[in-house]
Amino acid sequence: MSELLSPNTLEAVFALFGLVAVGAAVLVVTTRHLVHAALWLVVALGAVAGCFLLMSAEFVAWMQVLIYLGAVVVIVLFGFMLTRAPIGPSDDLTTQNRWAALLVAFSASAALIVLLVGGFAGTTLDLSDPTPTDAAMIGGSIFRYWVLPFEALSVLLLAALIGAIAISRLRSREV
Amino acid sequence: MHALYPLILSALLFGIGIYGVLARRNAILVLMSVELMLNAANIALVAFDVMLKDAAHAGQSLTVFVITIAAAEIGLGLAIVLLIFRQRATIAVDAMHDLGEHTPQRLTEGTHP
Amino acid sequence: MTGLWLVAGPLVASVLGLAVGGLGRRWVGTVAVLGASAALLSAGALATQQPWSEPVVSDGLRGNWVVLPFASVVDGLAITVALMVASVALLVQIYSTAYMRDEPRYGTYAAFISLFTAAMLAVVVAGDLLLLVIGWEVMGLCSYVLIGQNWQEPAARAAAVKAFLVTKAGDVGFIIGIIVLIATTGSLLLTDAVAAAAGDATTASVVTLLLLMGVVGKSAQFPLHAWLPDAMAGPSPVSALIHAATMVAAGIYVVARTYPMWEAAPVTLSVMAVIACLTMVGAALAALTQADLKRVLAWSTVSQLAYMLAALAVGSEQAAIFHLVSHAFFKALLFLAAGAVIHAVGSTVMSDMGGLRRAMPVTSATMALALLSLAGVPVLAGFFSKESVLSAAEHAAQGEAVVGAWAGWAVLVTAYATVAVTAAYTTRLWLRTFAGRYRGSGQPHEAPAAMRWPLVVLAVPTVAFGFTGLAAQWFPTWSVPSATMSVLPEALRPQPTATAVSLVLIAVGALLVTRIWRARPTGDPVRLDAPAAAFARSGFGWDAVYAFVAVRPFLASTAATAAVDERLIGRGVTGVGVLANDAGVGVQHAHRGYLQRSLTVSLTVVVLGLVVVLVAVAT
Repeated sequence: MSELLSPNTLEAVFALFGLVAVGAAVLVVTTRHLVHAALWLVVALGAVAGCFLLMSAEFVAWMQVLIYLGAVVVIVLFGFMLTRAPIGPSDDLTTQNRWAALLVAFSASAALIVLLVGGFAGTTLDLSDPTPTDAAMIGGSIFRYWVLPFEALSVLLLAALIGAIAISRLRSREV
Repeated sequence: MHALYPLILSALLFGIGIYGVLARRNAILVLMSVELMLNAANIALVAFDVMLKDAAHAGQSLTVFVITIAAAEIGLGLAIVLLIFRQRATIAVDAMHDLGEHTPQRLTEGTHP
Repeated sequence: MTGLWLVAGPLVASVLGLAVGGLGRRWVGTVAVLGASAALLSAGALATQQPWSEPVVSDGLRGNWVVLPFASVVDGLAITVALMVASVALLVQIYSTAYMRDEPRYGTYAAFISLFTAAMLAVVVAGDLLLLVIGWEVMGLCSYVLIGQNWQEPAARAAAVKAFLVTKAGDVGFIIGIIVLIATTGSLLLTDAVAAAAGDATTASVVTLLLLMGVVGKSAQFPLHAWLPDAMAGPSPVSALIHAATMVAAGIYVVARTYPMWEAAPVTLSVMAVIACLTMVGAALAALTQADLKRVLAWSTVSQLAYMLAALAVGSEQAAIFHLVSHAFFKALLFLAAGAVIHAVGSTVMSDMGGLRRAMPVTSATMALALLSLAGVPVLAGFFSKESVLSAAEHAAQGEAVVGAWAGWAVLVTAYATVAVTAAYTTRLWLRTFAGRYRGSGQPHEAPAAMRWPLVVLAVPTVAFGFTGLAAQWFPTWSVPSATMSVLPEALRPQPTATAVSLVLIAVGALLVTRIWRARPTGDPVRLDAPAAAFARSGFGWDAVYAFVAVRPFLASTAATAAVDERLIGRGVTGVGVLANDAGVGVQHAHRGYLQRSLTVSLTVVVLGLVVVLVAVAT
């Protein structure tokens, strides 16, 4: 336990990124400005990408940046635009359910933390290997061991694509 | 690095995501909170991958898959949100209760036999 | 069981009468008259056995655990009263065949009159306390049914219920008294129980005070007197039989029958004297202010019953019984004659009558005789019986009775006052009904034969009965109760001073009314619209007291009970349904389709599951 209280450099930086991520996430779920929420999501996801980097998961980190920050957040902003999100603050972004939600969220986090602390209090991650896990390694692993899920995933992407087009197609009478 | 750092971060992000899913009114904000939860899962997966160092890199591979699925999901989800917005001019989740049942009439004093 | 043969005839006639009711009036009338005749014949047969010298007491049937209350006592008192009851009942049945000719439900009427006769005779010959109570209660029931004979009139319905409830209020005390008597003396036989109770002053006082409640109720004395004038809503033969001659006199009879017990309780006798004095003069004043013919007679009955009660209070049950029998004859005659008048004129109020002596000579003459007897004019029966009461009061005033001398003086003074008022109202009644000119709009005619002959028959004892008291071995011996066999019966002769005072008072009352009437023959000698007269006419406002004491609290309690039942219990029952429904509605809220609500519930369950697993693993 005393190792936690005297972190080395890596842990300190990781803690910093973690705080940024948590802080930005809190702002995402509590802010009164709709568009600001999307921007704070960018910060949060970016901090998560930084965490990935610190854990030597290079490929995953850049995938995170590309897809989440690049595509998902953009599509969210497009969504705000097409649903005429108000620019300024709005008062009605959080429902009556907030207290129940707070309770559930708090108890879920607490239960998970207890579980994790109980299970992994003495474990350390060995990051002494200077070689990060890059695209070649992950690619080799996927196409060697995870081919079937990969194919299924491509079918899923196809279905999502077709589905999105089918749903959002303007019917002739709605023009 | 101590394993608890990424793991506790994951638990906290997950809780925050739950709060956002349950408490936010705008459907797109709910989808964003779901993204937060997925990210929490991703952090945990990567942390375990580094902890266990297996040959198949299961953790990081699955992380890639989760990211993919999350992207597909939010694309489709936003298409649905747009359709709803087109039909009802609102995307507040508490305005959509078509699957619910109508509240039955409460008995008043005069209706007993 | 010998005495119970008296009861058998009318009882069978009552049951048979209900059976042959559909066969027509002739059958009904025949059965009724035969039943009453059977009673009269058996009474006569029993009289020939000279029960006054040797009373016939028979035991009831008793097993180990079952008691059949059939013991009977046939002594002089019982036979005398039984003869009176049977003869009046027979005459009433004969009268009813004509009076009820055009009335519906004659069959049930005659059957209930027969049942009533049976019940009264059961009370008369009862040697068993249970038989006494049974007869007493059946009489009350028959009175209720017969008053309500014309139940299509709301006045008749109300009067029947009022009579029943008021007499029942007194009967509560009566039954409790009988129970106490049985409990303290351990005997159901009347003679034994009375003898045992007479030996102990406290028992006697308690029992007699309770029995007095029943007597006051049945005999319509203050404070339970208000039912009798209203009971005039029943047919006149019913009034004649029940409310003049028999049922109202049953209380007096029971006191006379159990007299040794009353002599041992001077407290009760004092209470009785006070009640009698108040009732005597109050009822007479009320009779003076009535506009309705039958109501005058009803109040008059209340007043005369007070005389009998007063006689009992001052120690002479002989005088009381003497007045009972004499009053029965002339009052029955008065009611039957009133029935004939009402039948002929078609109205009951005296302002529609007048000058009827030419149109109805027999009725007029017999009624005049009865009214003279009622007023106490010599030498009619009423004179002798009233004088015997006054003599008894004089004896008590001189301290010769069990009750204090003050009671004797009170009774004496009140009785004299009542004599004057009685003379006044009887004169007023005759003048308004039979003298002057006819004021109504009908065609008055003499009554038919079946109604006329009972009047004539009853006129005989009205005139002659009083003479039977003059010798000690006549009426006083004939009517001696077996309980007091050791006391020598005395002759019931009027005293000179009392007679003189009475005659003066009668003259004063009668002449005063006649003078006022002569000044205005078409009007009423009494100013009915004066507030004092109106107050007296309503029975001195006593109905308001009933309403305050009994009716309003009872109605309030029924309203409260109904409210508790509806609001508390009813709502409790429906509340179960409402509760179930509300629970369902509450649960329904989870199905309203709100996404976040459902998710919250699901996640709560998952978290709870996780917590449970953690706890399980930790322990």
